[in-house]
Amino acid sequence: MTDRKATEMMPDSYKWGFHDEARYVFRTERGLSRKVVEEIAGIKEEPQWMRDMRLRALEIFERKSMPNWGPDLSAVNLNDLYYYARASDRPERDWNEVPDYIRSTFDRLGIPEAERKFLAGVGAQYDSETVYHNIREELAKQGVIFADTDTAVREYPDLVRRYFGTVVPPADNKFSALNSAVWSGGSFIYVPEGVHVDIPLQAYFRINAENIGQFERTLIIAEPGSFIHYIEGCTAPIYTTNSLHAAVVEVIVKKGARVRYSTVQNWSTNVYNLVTKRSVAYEDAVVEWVDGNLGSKVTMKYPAVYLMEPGAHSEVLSLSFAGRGQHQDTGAKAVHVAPHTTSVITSKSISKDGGRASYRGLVKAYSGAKGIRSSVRCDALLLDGDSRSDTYPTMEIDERDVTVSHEASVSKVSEEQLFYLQSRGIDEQEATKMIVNGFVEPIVKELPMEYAVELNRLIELQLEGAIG
Amino acid sequence: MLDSVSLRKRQAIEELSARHEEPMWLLQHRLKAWRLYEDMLPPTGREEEWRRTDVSALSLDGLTLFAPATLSPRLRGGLREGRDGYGGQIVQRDSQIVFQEMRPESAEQGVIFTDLHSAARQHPKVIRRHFMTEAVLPAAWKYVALHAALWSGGAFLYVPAGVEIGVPLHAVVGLSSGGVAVFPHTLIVAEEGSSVTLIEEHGSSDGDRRALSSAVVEILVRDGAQVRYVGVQDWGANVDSFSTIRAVLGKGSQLELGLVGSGGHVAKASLDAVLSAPGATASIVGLFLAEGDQHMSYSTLQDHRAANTTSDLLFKSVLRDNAYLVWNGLTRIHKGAGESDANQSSRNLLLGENARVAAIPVLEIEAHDVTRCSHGATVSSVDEEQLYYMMSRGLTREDASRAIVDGFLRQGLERLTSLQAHRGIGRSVERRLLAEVA
Repeated sequence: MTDRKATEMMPDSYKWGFHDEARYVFRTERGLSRKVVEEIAGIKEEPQWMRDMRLRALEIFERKSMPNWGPDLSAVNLNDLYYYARASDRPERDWNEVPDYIRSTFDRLGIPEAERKFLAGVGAQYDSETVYHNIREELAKQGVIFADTDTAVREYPDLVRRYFGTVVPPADNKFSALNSAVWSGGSFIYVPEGVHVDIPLQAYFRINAENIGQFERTLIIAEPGSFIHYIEGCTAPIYTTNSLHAAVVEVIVKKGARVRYSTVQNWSTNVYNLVTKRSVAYEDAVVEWVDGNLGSKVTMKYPAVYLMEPGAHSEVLSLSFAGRGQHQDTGAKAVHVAPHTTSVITSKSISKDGGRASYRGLVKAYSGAKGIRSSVRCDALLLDGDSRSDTYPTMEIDERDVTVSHEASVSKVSEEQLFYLQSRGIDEQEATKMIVNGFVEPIVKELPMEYAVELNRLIELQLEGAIG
Repeated sequence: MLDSVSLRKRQAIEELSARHEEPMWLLQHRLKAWRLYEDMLPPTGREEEWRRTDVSALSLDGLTLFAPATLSPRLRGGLREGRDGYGGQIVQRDSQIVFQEMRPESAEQGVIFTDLHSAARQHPKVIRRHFMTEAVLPAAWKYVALHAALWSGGAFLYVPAGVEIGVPLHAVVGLSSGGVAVFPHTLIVAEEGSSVTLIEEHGSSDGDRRALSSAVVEILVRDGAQVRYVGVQDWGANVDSFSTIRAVLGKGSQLELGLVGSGGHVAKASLDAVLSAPGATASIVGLFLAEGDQHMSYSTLQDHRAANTTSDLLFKSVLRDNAYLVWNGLTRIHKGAGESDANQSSRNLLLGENARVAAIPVLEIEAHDVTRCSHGATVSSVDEEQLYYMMSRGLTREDASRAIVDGFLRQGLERLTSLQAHRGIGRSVERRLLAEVA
């Protein structure tokens, strides 16, 4: 084992694992109760309907049992978390007004540069409240709303109320109920009819304080004929006790609209990342989820598309990397409600150093969903004998006039490929890197350049640890 | 702890054991299994394994747990006529064996092919060593425990080391009426380097009253042995059927396992191939044709526990009317089972307006140097282009559709070498399956 490997495998060398000393203006007591939920609604000065929804969701959360069909969640202690913390008093629009210590964290993540070069707007979430928000003037002029969801509740109450919780109702699962009860932050995006937003909108999400669960809530509404690409990426400091991230993302894609939602998830390896992401696609709409999962201790995330009207199309690209101590339980769902809808799911996973990557997915065709086509392709790469790969696809087909296929394969880095590359003077480590890069390339190439670069760098770092 | 109901059942078990003149250990085995059955929880219907299947199909309400039977001279004559293709036959009707015979040359080689009750009396050591000790244990689940307590009938096939039986053996279970629960048990022990084929048929005509079949098939394929087993299930529409088929494969052994299913109301089977030693190879073929309100549910396991093992599964189904087929297919590659090759393929043809399929092919892989591990599943209707092509050549839509379905199933039958090698038997199975297509 080289020195490099030893240091890179140590938790405190986690590349994005630095953290600022957290200073909080307010945070709730530990644990979850009616009082905590009412406090959150009170601080946010929320309208009665939202307060009622939170309390209803809390009741549902308390009734529902933990999911027992997937990864081990026994170490998640829901009573030991803080459910709300706010680091600064109000969302900032001007970068210069953001408190220095928060800015320094973002500086190290490169957000200002990214923004200068590339971004249309930044909503960066520091713990549970958005502290920085900026939308370019031309977007605002086009009528595009890009705000943190708390602000949206205040400033666009009718829009939020009309769509909030319609795609992922609180009762969907235990963690969507939890999120609905204590949610804070997240992005709200509204794209008016016919508007094409050419540059991706982007937000960084971070967990910064020990034992703080993060429950952001994102809602995207794409009116007919519009287009938006939203990117979320996250890096988080490492702490010793387990953190929880339970987000809910709802995306509504109306007739002829197209939404692409890209995620690069690199939570530190003590985070339980339990996320419900779902979209509804209407006539001729296109939904694309690009979902890269590299970090976290446990991730459970299955971006879903409900194809509600003819002509709707969904595409999910899922990439997972499970290293030491990690369980990536990821996948996708395509639910064909309407006839003549199509879906494509492509999943690639890599397991190494005892990590476990599981694909879990659903393709459902309701009776009457005639002429649908669905194709699922899962590939898994195992880099050593301690690691594990699983595939749990479910196909429920209640209509005969369909074309549904599922294919999966699991392989190792083949000796032949390695031999070929080594015979051309490439050392084993470099050769493995090349093979892995080739394996993930179909997904990475769908990301904007900066994310693709970061993703490739993250994968390389993990591989160097593995190969040593 | 025994309440009045279970006491009555306990007496029933003692009577059943006495009727078969069983040794004490076998009675104890039954009683122990009965206690297991009582202790174990029934499925609630919420389990992944059960959530698509009506658990009430397991009910024993109103069913006779042992039904004696006789064989009419006419049927006996028919069996004698039909025996030619086989090296031996065992026929069970309701809960009892009514007919058995084997070619003398096989007996001279030390082959045992007899009903399990006789075997328990005549070969107590062999039975005690292999019966529910290795492939299927009574504690596997509640209804296997019930089977272990109430089993009656079935076949025992023992092939000594190095003995190869060229002609297939045949076991049949039939039902004369409804209102009966049958528990046939088949145990195959193929010693090192032996080779044998068993074709087992379960069937009945449609009856008015509900019946239940709960069968267990244990297959022990020792080092270098070859076993071909084909189970043909053609129960009447009044029969709910639950089967547990499990094979354990030794070093360098080969198993060919075929399941042909077209009958029953609810037909649920689990089918496990345990590749426990290097070089073991299993080929599994399932062909299913369901119609009306039939529900078929199959759970398969390709369990690679040793290096250099190979398994291949092909399931083909044709579903008409409101038929519903569920397939849970698990391939597991354990740590250390490197250089293994596993494949699963499920092809489903939906013909009925309300026909449904749930296909769940699962891979669990813990060894990194798998040679290949893959699965595929498709669901579709009859290809309109193929139909159009055939109709343009003068076939009616119905004939064209029938030809496509016929070809679809025939491709699967061709994978069963045990049937291909014995054309007469192959044809009879084929006729029965394809007759349903018409």
